[in-house]
Amino acid sequence: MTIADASQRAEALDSVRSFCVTAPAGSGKTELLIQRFLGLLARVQRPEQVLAITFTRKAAAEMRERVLQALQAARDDAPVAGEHEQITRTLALAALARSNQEQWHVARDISRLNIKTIDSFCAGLTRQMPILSRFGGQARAVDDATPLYAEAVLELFSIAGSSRPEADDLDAMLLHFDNNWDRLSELLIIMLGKRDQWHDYLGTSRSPEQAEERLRMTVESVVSETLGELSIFLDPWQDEILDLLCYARQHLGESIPEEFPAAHADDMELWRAVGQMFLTQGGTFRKSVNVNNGFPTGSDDAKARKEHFKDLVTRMNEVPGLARELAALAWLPRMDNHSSAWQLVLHLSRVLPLLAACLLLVFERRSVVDHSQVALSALDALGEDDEPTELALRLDYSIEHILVDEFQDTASNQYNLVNRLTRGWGEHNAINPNAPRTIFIVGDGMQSIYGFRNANVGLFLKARQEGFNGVIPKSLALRCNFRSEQGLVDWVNASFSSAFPAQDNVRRGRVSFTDAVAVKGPGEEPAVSLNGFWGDQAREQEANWLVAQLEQGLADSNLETIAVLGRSRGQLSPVLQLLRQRNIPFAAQDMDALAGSPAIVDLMTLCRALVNPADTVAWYALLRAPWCALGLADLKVFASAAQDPRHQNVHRLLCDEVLPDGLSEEGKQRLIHVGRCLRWAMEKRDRLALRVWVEQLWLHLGGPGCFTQQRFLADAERFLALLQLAETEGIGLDIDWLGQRISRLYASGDTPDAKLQIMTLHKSKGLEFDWVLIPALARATRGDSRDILLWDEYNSSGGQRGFLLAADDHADDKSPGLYNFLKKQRKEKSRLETTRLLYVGSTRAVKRLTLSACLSGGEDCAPDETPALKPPGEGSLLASVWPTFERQMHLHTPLTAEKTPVTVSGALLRLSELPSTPSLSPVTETNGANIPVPALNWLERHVGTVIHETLEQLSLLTQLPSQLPDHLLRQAGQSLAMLGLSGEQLKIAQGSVVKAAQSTLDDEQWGRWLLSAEHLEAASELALTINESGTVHDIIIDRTFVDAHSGQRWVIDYKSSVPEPAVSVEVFLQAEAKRYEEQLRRYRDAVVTMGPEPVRCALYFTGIAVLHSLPQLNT
Amino acid sequence: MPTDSTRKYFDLTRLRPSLEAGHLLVTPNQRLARRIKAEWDRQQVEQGRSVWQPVAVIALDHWLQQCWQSALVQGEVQPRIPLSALQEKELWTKVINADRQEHGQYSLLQTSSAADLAKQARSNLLRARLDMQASSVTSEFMLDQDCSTFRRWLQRFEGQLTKTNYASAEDRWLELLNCKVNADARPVVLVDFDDLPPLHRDCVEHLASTVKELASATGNAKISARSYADRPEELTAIARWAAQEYRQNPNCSLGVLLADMQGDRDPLEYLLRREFGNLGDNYGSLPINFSTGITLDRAPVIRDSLRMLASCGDALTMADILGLITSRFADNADAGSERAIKLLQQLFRDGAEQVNLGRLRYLSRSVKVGEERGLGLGDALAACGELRLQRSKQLPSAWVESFSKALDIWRWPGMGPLDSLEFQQVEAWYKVLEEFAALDPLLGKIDFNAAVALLKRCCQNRISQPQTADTGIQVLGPLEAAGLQFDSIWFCGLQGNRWPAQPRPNPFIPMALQRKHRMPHSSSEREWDYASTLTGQYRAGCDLLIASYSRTLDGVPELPSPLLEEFPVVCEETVTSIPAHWLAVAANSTLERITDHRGPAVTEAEQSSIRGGSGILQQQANCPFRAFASKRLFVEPLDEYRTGLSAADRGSILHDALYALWGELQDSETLKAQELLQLDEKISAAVASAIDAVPEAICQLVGMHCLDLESRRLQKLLIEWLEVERSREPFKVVAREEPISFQLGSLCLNMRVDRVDELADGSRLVIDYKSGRSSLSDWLGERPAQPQLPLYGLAENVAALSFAQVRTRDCRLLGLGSVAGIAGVQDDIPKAVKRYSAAEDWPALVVEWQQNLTRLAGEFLSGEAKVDPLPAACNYCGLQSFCRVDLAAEEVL
Ligand code: SF4
Repeated sequence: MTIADASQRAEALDSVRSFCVTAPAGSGKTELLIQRFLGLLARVQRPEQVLAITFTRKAAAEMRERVLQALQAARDDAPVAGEHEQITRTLALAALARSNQEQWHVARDISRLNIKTIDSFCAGLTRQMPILSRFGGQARAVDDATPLYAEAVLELFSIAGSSRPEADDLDAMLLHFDNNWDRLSELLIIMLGKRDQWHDYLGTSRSPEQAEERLRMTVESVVSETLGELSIFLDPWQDEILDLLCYARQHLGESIPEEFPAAHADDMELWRAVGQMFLTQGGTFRKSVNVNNGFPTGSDDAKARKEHFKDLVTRMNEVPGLARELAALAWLPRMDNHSSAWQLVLHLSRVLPLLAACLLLVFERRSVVDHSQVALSALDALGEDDEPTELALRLDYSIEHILVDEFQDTASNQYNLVNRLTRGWGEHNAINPNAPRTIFIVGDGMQSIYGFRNANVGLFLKARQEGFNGVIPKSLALRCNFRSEQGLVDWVNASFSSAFPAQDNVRRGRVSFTDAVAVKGPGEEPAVSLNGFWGDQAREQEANWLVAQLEQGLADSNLETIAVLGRSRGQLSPVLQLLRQRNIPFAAQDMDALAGSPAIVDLMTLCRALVNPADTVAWYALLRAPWCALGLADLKVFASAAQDPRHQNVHRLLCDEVLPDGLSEEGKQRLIHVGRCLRWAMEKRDRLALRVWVEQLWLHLGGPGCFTQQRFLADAERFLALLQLAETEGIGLDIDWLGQRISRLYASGDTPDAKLQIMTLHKSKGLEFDWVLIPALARATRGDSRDILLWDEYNSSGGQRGFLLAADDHADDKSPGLYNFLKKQRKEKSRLETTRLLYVGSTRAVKRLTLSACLSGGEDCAPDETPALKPPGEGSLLASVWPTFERQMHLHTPLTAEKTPVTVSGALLRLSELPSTPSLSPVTETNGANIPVPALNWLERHVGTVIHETLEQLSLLTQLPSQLPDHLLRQAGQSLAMLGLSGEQLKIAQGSVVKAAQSTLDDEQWGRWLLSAEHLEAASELALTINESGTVHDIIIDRTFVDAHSGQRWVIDYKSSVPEPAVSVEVFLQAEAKRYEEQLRRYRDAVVTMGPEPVRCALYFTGIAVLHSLPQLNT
Repeated sequence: MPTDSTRKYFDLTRLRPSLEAGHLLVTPNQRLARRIKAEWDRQQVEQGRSVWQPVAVIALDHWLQQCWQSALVQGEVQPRIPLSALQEKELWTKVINADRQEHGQYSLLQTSSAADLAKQARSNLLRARLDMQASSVTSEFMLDQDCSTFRRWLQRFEGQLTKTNYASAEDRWLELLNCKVNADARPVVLVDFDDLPPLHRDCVEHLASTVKELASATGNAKISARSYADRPEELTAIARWAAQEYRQNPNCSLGVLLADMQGDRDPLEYLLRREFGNLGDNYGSLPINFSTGITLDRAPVIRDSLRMLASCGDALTMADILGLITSRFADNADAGSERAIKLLQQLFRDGAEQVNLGRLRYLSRSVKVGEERGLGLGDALAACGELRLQRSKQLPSAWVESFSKALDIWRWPGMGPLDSLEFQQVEAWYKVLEEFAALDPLLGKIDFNAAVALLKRCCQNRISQPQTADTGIQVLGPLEAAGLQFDSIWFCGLQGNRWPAQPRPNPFIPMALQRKHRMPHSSSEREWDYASTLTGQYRAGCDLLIASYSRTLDGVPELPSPLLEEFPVVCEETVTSIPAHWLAVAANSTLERITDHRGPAVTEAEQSSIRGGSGILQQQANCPFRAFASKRLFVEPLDEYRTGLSAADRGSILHDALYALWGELQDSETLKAQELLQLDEKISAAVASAIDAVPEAICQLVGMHCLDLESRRLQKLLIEWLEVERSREPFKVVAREEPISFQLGSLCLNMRVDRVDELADGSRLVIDYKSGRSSLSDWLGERPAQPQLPLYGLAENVAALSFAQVRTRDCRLLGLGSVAGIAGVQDDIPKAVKRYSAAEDWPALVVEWQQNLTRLAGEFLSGEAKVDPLPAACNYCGLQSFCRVDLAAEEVL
């Protein structure tokens, strides 16, 4: 095994230099990253100084695990296999030595390995800088922020009609969208989701004017750059072109330019004239010109001019793509203040900053944020360039080295983050040539497939060219492919080199192709099989053929893993269906939308009905679901049972069990059963955990028995788990929330660990399979729908960045305008990405790759003729490799058999036997309402407490005073304040305490006696633990003592209560005695053990100065 | 709480000498103190004693509080009012907001978490005994904006404390250090402390005669380490284990420690219920104690009380309204009435998610079905409105009274019976109100919204947790288990990044300071020590420690805790996540298919109640089931929430405007004779009259500004439209919005024709205004999706039919007929209908319509109700869950 790029790999480990490594599929970049990471560890003061940023949490976890494994293997001196492991080992040993020296414990303390996703790193920054990030503290980031965006838009709409300057812009936009508020709202919600792309230019920190200015600058720069590129193209012919142009314009009676148009928006019109002169309406070079183009017939000169034109066009036509570039002049945006299209762009740019501010308000109100906000706030916290935050202080360490994986999937936030983290590095490195800071970027432009998630491959190209803050990485290209066998690598090289653009282009996100070198030798032949199907039943035929192939492959022990990949579910559904039909086990990842599962429909119906009695659809759906399956006739009878059937209260009817006459017996039984289940549910509403409540109701109804396939049970479990989450998160039973969550989920995979896997191309990134099949390649994704809003980031080759956006201005395809410009641009970018997507899919294969497509055309083709098939549409995966595919494919003979028509059965599914009915608590049983009495009498309670305290204090005085001493008075006030009383209440309470204490002191007969210090064994607030026939209680006795005179042991409980005005003291005392007798008995039993004295129990009423004995407790 | 004295709680062997010597045992938390006391008491009972001195064991904070109180009585410390955690947080919030106002250069998304962090920072500083006045300390705070801002807050906070005479726990303990040492100070034994902040250590040393540290147990239990595929598997295994142990020995004592209490508690509770069989009727008797519960605001009875209070404000969300109508905790006698349904239907038709209370009050008092009018809800809302809370500003304690009045109006907490947990929650509510009232001196007078928000925060601050009888099985957080003893402990969730946890230094204290003073969570080293000490304590306190982690979480691979490194991890295999019970039910059930395509025929009596003109046929054509559901069962989907005018409202405004306009213009001649300016005026007038006709309720819902925009839009649109009309051959408008009836078979349809034009030759063109895109194919075929115009075509004397598509940038006529010369109205019938019909001319087409429409009418009347939608019919239908159309493929038997 020779490694063709061994020297590049070795160089990449040079830890004092920065690199940008291009690592194509199968090139083993993870190992390289780990090696580099280990190498850097040996160079730093603290391990946290090496920051590795990965694209997904999974990637971070894997990298962390592998670093740890390497360190532990080095520590345990595990044997090494092979050369590259030896490199890893050497590096790990050095890192370990450093760790031991500095006591980092990196081999065990994984928290010190600074390997993070961008999200978690940003979350850490915001947490560490609550003020700078404006978060104030940890904020929960939600995955789906759409409801928050919607709220922000409402907030924005509330300024409509106000005097704010943006109100006019908003009006203009509303009018543009036909005063359809919901429509504009949808659009703005989308924009908020893309906030990280425009926040820098149009975000909260911008005024409307600044936002507008920024947009103008960007457009200007786009125009001049495009023109600049074109100028370079046309450079060899400038004079000739100018000459012909002047000639033509003269004949057309138009102004004659003095020189060749400059690469600037001001010369736009002239440029367009150039374009029109050379191109036809269809965008191809004119074969000839006539008087209409300014080339009259006649004189020799005229002839010569025409000849010249023809000649020039011939030469120009040789430049590939030039015609397209010239055609693009037609829709280059025009910043014409009078054009409504441009006005619309400006309105939008002025409204966005305000919209972003509204979103912040919502975040504040709801105490959550979206992920973009975490990143944006982290960026904020790092400070603008003129005032960077001293990060080292805040983190307790400085970041010295940054590694970024999958940089081709970088979105602008990430790019900005690296940019801010590396500020000053250029200067630092100049001063410290021996201890430079480094960046290490790994990516593969060819595998950039996340454009729809704002990834911008242009940023990768830009970083590779320009580096960050004066740290310019050396560009290294890995070429070895360790994954695929040679036949595959060769095929991919041959087919994709022409499918990719010839050259990189930052602004247009163009990535060129580089060949890979296979490390493995040739394997099975042929490694690649290309298959075309056509005719009426091509789709079915393709699926059948594929499944037959799969059946063979599954039996082949040579193939350990097989994957069928597709861009979307639609592409794969025929195969999926067949596999299920034939019971071939497979694992499907994210294929079937969960929302389409019968389990979800049934449970959702149930929840909707439980939440909303007026959701008649749900209520009737409940009656039509398999557990009830009420027939149409019964439904009709049931629906008539109402005073006004339009407002029928289904719930009530069911629960009350007063069913209308005329129902079938079967229907009646089923309605009764459903009704009982619902009554059960009503009884249990809010008494059980949400999940348990719904689940039990569903079980009572017979829910699990209502499915035709067992896998739906797993879907039910997912739904119920969501309910549990809703409760944990405090959301409760919220149908919209559930709907949104479910819409983002997929039904449970069939057999999770099957050999055969079905997944999307995007999901397959980073994985490998022995055999990869990609069917239905000719399918286009979606129609060329007209988006109402388009946007794009802009990166100039000169280093400028910006954001462009435009709403549909309803202009036709050929007119100049930002909308059209962006539309064309998006089309090109998505075409490029589609090519890359197929590249990613194809390079997943280790041994074998099978591609297939259903092709259109070939109608009316005789049986033995070669059909005239149409090339696939532009949006299809196949488009980019069509020439190769067409040449190499095996064209299957179409089937001719009759198509079996699909019939919608439409029959009603019914659970045959009703489950047993839940037990209901009989209506008559009453345990009382069981409602606590309102306890808002804390004033009295506190007064009581402090009276006790005061009496205790008094009882401790050796000499009982006749007046409540000042310090006790003060203390009482303090105690009441400490209990939470203040203001007027405090005064009242203090008065009550003083009154009670004073009246006790004034009570010569009992009060003074019981407080007297002269008793024996006296105690106040005596705490005891007692055993009451095996049960332990803690008690506190207010006052107890042995009266020296009588020799009786007294137990006294203080009461601050007073008789109600209408109640006589006698009655009051009797009632109170009865109430407290039990308690006193317990006290008595406790003190009985203290001595032989007879025990006397009494209540002392401080409010009326009465001692009330309970003689029945005497011992 | 009475305790059951048969189970052994704790091994007191190592503590007994100290207890018997009368030393004071101080524990890190109350849970441990209670355990020790329970065991002590149990032993006393066992020895047959009936009364004894309470054992001297107390949690540290309680003890310090006692010491402070007695110092207060003795005049050793200044009287200060203890600041509760809640008060402290509210005070911080107030301080931060005041600072923000003064130094307006920063904003915060989460003032409340900032308050939490600030509170924690101050406490950390005091605990570390850092002197915030010392310049060496302050200078460190000035280096960055986060810390220096905090310092500014801190100064303000201290000022507030002094002014109000409050003191936090740390402030009070600090003062204890200055008081005279008591002569009767006792020897103190610190039990199972893993870590004591300097402040506390100093206090203990100052207050005790002697201090000794003691570990209550010294065992070193075996660790059995396990890993599971994911968290649900891990939790399922725990639940099964606990149930099995419990079945073997109901007196067993088990501890389940959850590293991620917040995320795992609820799923575990559910699984435990499942394994213990406590999901159904015996829901309340799960023999397991959880150390945490929900915050009180989430308890249903409290959630609803907060909703009731919100109903005194100016708007309620639909969710709140539905919650109130279905609440068990209000007097909802008429919630089962048809009036309640009608009210809700109206609210959904309004389409506002936030419902204005004025409107809600009005609707709920006036809603009428048959002879019955109004709902109790309306009366309650009216009574709440009369309290006029919305505009008042008062002290929290006064708010308590107002709130109580409002709740009385709603008869909260309902008629009962409450279950025991709800009973406890209502009790807790009263305690919360007391805490709320105690905020008077700190917050002063506040307005309604602030009061409601504050009350909610108070509820969030209180945990509601069912008081179960003491049981042997406990689910706890790692910290709470310190020092406790169990037969076995299962420690769950030992992911590499959880145990030890990631350091989380407080962002308001300079890092260097935190590290120097080893403040909580400040560094990896500290977290490591903390986790390994606690792990040691667990091992000491049990016979077997099972430690588990999940190999993946949410699909992301996870590493085991490094603390498990020395133990072999048993990799447990996947168990199915579907409950066995479900599988059994599924296995024992059979499903059958019933053909059910036809409902009962429409009876004569029923015919009178069926409403709708061409709509009936339209629905029947689009999907027979839909027609049956809507026209016969009256099942209609509710509207989605929206802003601005609904499509239907906009359509009817447009119709009204055109109606008015042609009332003025009359015919094409007049139209053409108009000066531009004149025409503009006429259009304005027409639009104005249409806008005037918009019902008051809609005006209020969408706002006048929206209608303003609508009239601006219409103005432009109608000018555009009249261009189309202007280009036509002469015509005269002979009818506008004219009612007509039709008899199709035995079905009688009543409709209104938007407009009828008489053309120059006297023939008639029927026009139907459309604001959406339309297509002629909707008229054709066996099941015309839009049969309205074809129906008019059946009327006598109609020569042509046309949609008038009144749509910005796309105004045109679109029709068919035997008239020539109207742009958009095709007269080459065979060509126009080629793909759908064989009709050769207009009369033939009309005959075809007659047949098709009569057939549809017949099908409707006969009860034909198959789920059989035209291709686009389902898009705007909303009955999917009822007809189950999307499930057909999945429900193949
Ligand atoms: S959703 Fe489709 S199938 Fe169901 S009733 Fe509506 S139109 Fe018919």
